[in-house]
Amino acid sequence: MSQTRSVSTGISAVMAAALVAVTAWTGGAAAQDKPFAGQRLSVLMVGHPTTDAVRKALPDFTAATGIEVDLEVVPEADSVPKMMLEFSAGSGRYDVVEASSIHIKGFVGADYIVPLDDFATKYAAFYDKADFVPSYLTPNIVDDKLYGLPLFGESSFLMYRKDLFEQYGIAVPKTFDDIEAAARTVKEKSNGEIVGITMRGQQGIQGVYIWASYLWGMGGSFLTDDGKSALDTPEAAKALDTFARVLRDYGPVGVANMGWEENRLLFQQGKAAMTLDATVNGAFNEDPSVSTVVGKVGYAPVPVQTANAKGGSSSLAVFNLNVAKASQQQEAAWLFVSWATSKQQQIHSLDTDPNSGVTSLAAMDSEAFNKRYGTFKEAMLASLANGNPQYIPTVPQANELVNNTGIAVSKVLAGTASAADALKEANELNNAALTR
Amino acid sequence: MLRKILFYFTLALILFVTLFPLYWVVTTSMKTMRDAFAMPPVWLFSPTLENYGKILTNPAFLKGFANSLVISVTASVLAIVVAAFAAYGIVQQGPARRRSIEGFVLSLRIAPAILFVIPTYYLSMRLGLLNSHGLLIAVYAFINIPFAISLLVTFFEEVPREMREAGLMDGAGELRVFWHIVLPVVRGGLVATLILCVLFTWNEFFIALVLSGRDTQTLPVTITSFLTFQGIEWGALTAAATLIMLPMIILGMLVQGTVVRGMAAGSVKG
Amino acid sequence: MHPISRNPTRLFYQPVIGFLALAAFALLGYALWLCLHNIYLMGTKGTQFVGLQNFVRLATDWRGLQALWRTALFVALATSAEVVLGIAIALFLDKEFRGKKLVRAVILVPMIMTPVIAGLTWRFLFNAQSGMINYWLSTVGIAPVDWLGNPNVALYAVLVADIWQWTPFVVLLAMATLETIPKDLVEAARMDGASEIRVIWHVILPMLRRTLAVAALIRAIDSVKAFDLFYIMTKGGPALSTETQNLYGYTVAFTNFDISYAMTIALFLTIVTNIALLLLNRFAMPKGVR
Repeated sequence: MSQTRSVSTGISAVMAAALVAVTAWTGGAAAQDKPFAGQRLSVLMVGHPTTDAVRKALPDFTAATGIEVDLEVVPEADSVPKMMLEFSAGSGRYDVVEASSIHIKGFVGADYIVPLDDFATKYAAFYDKADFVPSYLTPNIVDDKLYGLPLFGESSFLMYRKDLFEQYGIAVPKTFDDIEAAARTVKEKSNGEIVGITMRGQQGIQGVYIWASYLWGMGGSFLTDDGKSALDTPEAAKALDTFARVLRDYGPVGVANMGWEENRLLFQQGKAAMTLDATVNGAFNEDPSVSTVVGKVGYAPVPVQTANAKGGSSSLAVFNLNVAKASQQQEAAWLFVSWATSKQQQIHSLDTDPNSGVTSLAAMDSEAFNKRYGTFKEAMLASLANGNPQYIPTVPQANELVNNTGIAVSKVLAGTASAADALKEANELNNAALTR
Repeated sequence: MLRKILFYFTLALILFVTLFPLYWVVTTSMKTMRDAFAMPPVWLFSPTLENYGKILTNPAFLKGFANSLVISVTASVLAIVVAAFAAYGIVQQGPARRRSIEGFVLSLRIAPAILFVIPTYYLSMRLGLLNSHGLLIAVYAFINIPFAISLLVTFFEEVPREMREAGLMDGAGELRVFWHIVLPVVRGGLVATLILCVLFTWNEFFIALVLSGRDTQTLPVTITSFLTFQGIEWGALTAAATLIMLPMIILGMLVQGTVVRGMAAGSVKG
Repeated sequence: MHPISRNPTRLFYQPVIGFLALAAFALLGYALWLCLHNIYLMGTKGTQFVGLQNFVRLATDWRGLQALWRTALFVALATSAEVVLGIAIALFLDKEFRGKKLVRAVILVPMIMTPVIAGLTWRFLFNAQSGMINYWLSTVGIAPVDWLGNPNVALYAVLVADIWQWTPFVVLLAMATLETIPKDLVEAARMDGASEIRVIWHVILPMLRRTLAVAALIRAIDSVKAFDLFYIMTKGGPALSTETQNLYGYTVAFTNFDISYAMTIALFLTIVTNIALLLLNRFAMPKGVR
């Protein structure tokens, strides 16, 4: 230590003392609270504001546990193939992966992920089961065992323009017939200026995600009780007919290639009177920096057509963190999972990278959340409570079924096949996939 | 005069069609979200560099940049060196043999990426090579070699046979002729081919998606993290896209100049 | 005087070609092994040898056959459009004018753009609601066209993006070759009073033949494998109207996780393309150069 200048010496002495104190404190803590210090986790996550928030807060996690985290971020569509290749090879390359709940049963069935209950009792520093929105946590439980913790989620609801509905004297739709009538009224009374309803129609999961609401709401389902495909039913055909008709007659040009983004833009630019989509869209509708319809949007539950539906018509999607079976550091992985989903981190994320998909009840009660998302919070909670986590089948072959169904939806929407024919074909393909 | 007007009109049209998408990307990167998607489009706006700030301080982007640079340059240089030898040899063969070799080389290019990416994936996993730069370099070099051979053959055959024969007459060995007489002539072609290889590797998406890991992720994969589950971050994405294109545009300008100059300097036929 | 071989130039390529062949056959062998099994990443039944079952399945797979036909259509259209346009532009620019250097550099920009970005950009330009193309059409009173949502149009919209991106590749090769054409030969023809079209057809084009053949082959092969633009712009929709064989293989592998069947599709595509290439090489490629 140099001792030439008295002032600087004083400062450095104080700093050194402080440093020693900090080191002593953290060092002392390490002995008891950091059993996994020095481990290095490899985590695969999907691009999302929540992921950004986690990335920014990683130093806190490392400071608290001594565990280092390497984060790899890819789009959702690409993350599943990546983890599947790793899982099937048992490579152990990823300790933690983020995946949609529709894959959990497949992962459990193929023995790719591990139950977390033992870790949860042993290392509960970050974990508070009661803090999770119940409908987000449930899909993670298979055979009474906990296989993951929810990171962010969403359900779906009907969004409509209150101002237009008032102007044209339209009541909030309760059935899919009501939607069609309302869409017709809007189109006629606005002389085609305003699109009646806009929904995602792109081939694949985009279209199927939305059409699933029609399927369940009309009393149909993807699978029969004994696990066969149930798409060749009159209910399914009617659901697809109705869905395609309303979009073709009163929907926007280009609907057959519209994904989430296109659909959201159209609605928030005030060009459509209704849309049926994810609850997260509420945040975009109410954000004055991107939306021209702030304060003009009403939120209502997804319609149902029949009294004896086999499942809820609003789709509940939740993304979870799971621990890989092939991981050599499952305890440390659990700590990361429970930390990233903890209420502290979720509340913190509302400051750094806000999004309405938080899964923590405490975060939902926070001031930051209410200020941003208060306008649609009630409707969101209602649709969460009624959300159908089985909106698309959760069998291991889920992706393939969605793919086949998506082709049927797209064909009918594009007018190249009738609903009954397209669904019959998808039904056969789905049955073939289910026996594979 | 009419001819001239017609010429410049056509030229303007070609340039407009060619450049509009680029213009769109660059301006979107400097717009706010709301302006970016306004319809009718906002032609006049006050540019913001906020998106660039975000990108340049994003560690994932910087790492991706470094990875892309190392991988594409190394793989391409490797490919060019190997391909130059092969192309020289191929050009000296008789037509029948040449045709069959060139046919084979071209056929290597045919296999769609899945066909070799999945086997490569499983193999390299067993060898513990995943997440190493070497793997991506090797794979890209392997892909670039046939492409480079096909292109270089066209450059090598422009070299008059008399030059090589004169060299051999003077008692120079085949290697010497290759190195001192033929290579200088095709320098332009070599640089052009090298730059094309760098360009394709730089932009390649699918193979990188499957075979790259967190330490080796290249830019085209990194930027897809702006395609989030909840929307495309257009501002960040287009800013990143602009930054990714910048070095390649500079290289592209070079490729244009070098090919032409290289071939002219070779004074091949004129 | 060379003790090793009568023709030492063979040593320049034999090790390289040998290594490439070895690696290619090793990978091909492994791929074939995968095709003969039933590797299914979501399966619980384990991997078995299934013989030719995957090939039989492909032979009766209507979706796959349609995808193959679509691939052929796309390749034929993309390659011919790119080659014709590419030559036309290269010839068009092959004269003296102000800013020539800059123009010739700038014209290459599309192929520099990362395909993922190009796909997103074109997807946005073709957007039926807020896309630039429909906006321009609307300024001259044309109703919005459903570029990517109409199964009869979508493939051509992707084609436009592909042509936009890859014509510059042909331009580049053609420009480079044009530089090597002796000016006096062209001048002489002009002096003889030949019309510009005759000069191009009889003097310039024959000299471009080999370059164009290479450019066309490379473009054809690459458009068989075209992936990024399709993946970003349409994902094969609507109603499968843009699903090429390569994209179908991707979907089977990475959406359905049916690895063995995906490999079968990819292998089949490779074989078909190879046969087409062999035929092309035999009948359409210019005969020995010089």
